[in-house]
Amino acid sequence: MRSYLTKPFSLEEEFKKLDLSSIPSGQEIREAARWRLAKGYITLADLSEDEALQKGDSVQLRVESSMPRFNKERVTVDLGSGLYDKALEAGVVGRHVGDSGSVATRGAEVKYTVLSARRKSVPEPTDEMAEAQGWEGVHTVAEFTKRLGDDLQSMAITGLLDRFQEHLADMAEIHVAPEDLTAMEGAYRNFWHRQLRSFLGLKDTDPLEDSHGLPEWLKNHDVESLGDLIRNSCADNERKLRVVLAACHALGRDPEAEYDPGTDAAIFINKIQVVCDLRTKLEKTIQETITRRN
Amino acid sequence: MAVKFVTEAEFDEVIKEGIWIADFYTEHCPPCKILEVELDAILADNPSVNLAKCDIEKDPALQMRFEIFGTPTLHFYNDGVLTGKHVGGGNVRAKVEEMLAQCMYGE
Repeated sequence: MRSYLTKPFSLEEEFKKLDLSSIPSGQEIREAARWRLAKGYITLADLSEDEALQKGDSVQLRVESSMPRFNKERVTVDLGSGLYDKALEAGVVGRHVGDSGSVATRGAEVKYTVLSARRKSVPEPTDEMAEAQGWEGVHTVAEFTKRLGDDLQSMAITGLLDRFQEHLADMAEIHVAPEDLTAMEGAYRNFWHRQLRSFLGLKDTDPLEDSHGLPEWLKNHDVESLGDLIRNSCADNERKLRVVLAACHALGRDPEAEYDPGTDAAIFINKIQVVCDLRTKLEKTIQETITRRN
Repeated sequence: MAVKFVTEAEFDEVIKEGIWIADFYTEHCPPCKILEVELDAILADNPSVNLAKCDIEKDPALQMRFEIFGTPTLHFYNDGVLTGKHVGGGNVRAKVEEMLAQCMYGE
């Protein structure tokens, strides 16, 4: 590799910029597990005229106004969700079944009558509920909570690492050697040659030639020709170089030894060893931070 | 609110009444798991909405009938009438709520 980093940076300082709040806490995981298990067992009970309506209740309203949306004999509204109308929902909270009233919203007056209301009751999760999820090896609430927590944290960490990788691509200042970009484009060309041989039986053709139509199986790539496909694939090669050089710098590795832009390994950023190693190191740091936080 | 694991054979009977979100998923699909977290939050705020969980690996007839080409895919039903589809996971709560409002209130 001929490209090189032109401005060093501190991995620790860049890592501090990561917002770890997207990783669920122990309490959030317990709440998520409780809801996930119980949601299939929630019951809705009718409310009497004595009970004031509150956020989360499901009500049936008669609404009258000059707007079709608010002119219905009966409409179901979940108070506080905001899906029907935030102002109207807020106006109904605190009222009772049988009450009538009006609110101003969207430039008009809407009259309403509360026809009926139901309130949800969420049961405490049980091992039977956990068993009913059908997760292999999971039989108890504790096991379910642990598995769900691991899944949620793992997904959140993967998202964080992806964002950090994007951050490196944005911030790393590098000198780009044109021959590196040429080599990377060659790697893509070779890759697609092999794909075409496998799937289309084409031989000795240059996929960059736009005369080839696009096979059905590639149409979800949002391109019109194979040439477009390869050019699009190469569009972020410079960013890829930034990530690789930043990862080498962060881990004290020699880019020349770590990365050959003309090989298959150049194509998929998350399969480049030095990038994998950086993600592994950061994941360990994040795990330690979570453990301390919890 | 109801949450049901639904096969192709049961599907029509289950979603014929009320507001239903049909969640076509597979057990080993990370975006499906992320979407389920979003769906959990939406269902918590909307007790009148029901969820039909459709595992297309366990029952491939679901995939064939509803032409599911990617997971997760959501279909929205009001009294059995399909009102919208959404394909893809990620941070899609606002989009799903918009489609749900359209399903429930027709605008």
